[in-house]
Amino acid sequence: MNSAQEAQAAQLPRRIIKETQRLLSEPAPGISASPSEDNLRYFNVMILGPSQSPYEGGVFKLELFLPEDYPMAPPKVRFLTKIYHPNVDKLGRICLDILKDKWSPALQIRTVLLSIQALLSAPNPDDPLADNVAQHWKSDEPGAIRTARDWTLRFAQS
Amino acid sequence: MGNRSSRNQQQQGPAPSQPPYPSTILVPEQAAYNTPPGNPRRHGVPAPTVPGRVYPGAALYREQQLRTQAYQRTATIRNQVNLRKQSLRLEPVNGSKELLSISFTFDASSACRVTTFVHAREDSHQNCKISVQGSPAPPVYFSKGLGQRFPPDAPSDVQSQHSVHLGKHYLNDLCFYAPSPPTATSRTFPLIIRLEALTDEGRAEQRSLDGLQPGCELPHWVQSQSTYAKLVTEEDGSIGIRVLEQKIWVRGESYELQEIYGMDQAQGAATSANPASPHQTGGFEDYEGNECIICMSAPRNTAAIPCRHMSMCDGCAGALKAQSSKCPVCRTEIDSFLHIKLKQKQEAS
Repeated sequence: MNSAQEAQAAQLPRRIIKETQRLLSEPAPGISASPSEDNLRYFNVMILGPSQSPYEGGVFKLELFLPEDYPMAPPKVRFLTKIYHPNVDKLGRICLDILKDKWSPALQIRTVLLSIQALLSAPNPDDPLADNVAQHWKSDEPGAIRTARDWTLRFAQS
Repeated sequence: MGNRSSRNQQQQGPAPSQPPYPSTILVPEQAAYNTPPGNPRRHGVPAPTVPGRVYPGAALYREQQLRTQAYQRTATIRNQVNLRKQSLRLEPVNGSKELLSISFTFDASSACRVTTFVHAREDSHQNCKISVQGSPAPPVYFSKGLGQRFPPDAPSDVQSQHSVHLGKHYLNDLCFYAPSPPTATSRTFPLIIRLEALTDEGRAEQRSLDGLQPGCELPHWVQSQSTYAKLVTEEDGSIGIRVLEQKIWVRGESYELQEIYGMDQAQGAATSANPASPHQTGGFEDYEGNECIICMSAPRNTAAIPCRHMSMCDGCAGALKAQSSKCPVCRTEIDSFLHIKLKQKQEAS
């Protein structure tokens, strides 16, 4: 850490420092998250596509930002890698209840990322964010899965 | 009177070898919404009596419907008698399959007596008067002491008097308990065990427990704890027992004992960690397993009511109040917060 970062870390709530330390020292399987050098509230995240999902073999980049009132307010998370998923829209925004009204300060960066990983394993076309993708999923699931797999090969390779 | 300081609790508490006590809060027997409006009898907290350690952090949950998330401090009251819930067993008397002796471990910080009632009715409008068919077993008297066993080793007739006779009751009456609405004036329980002691007032007035019939209406000068239980058939076919609830009677009021979730951890951390040298991780203290789930730095000391999850520190509870009204653990709407002072925590922080 350089002195500017140290000064920044001194301003951070202890919780964020602790979470960051634990994320780095005991990362969750298939998930990595590291804070940005110039903003310790901004995390670069990578989630590996879960096995037996159409995202298997893909490496998905996300950004996660802890707002000022975190943990009272949820982190803001967005896919940076293009993904074909009924609960993720074109801009990478994620439809996940715990990121919205079901947020609880008992949740953490780790649990949020694990939930997103789980969402990749279990797409939920009944609560869609990307209507056309969800429609595709409902009308032709094998076809939608093929497209998702294709996108994984095209866009989610490290 | 009204001494809430945990330091004083500690000084006046019994010997340090004391066993861990159950973590409980006290809730008035009849919840607010069941109390007829305008009934002033139960309003307010009875003034805390001598601070004791029988329930560290025991709290009187004020009987007010708290629409706003009130922030409550705990008032510590002294409960002189406590049956350890986990210790309650039924043991065959002389190898009999029909006669099962009621056995348990209890703590008493003053002389007390034990009475037991099988298939008994309790009347909450008559100061917890308990009635049974026939005559109840005679009370058994004990001096003060922690970790005492019931029945006492000798004489053996106590064992058979305070027992469940399977041949004498319908098994249904012993195993079946239908929770009646709290408004019901009387409730029937398969088994009631009542521990009674004199209050300081009672001792000053030179009262005696001797003159009281077992299961009588409880006078003001008696402090008691009642444990309600039912029988169950275990998987292996043997007869077991389950505690349904516990209540205490203090200064003419009956309170239900309820556990606070997360309290055991907090107490464990309070006693095991050396407060003078908290674990240093990354330059700040780590109350292992006991840190507030919101700030992850201060120790947990605030429970959400009504769900009773103690997951936060008082600071974060205040911040949460401003933002949301849901328990972080279970998302239940929070009516109020209960701030629990645990020993050593204040010194540590």
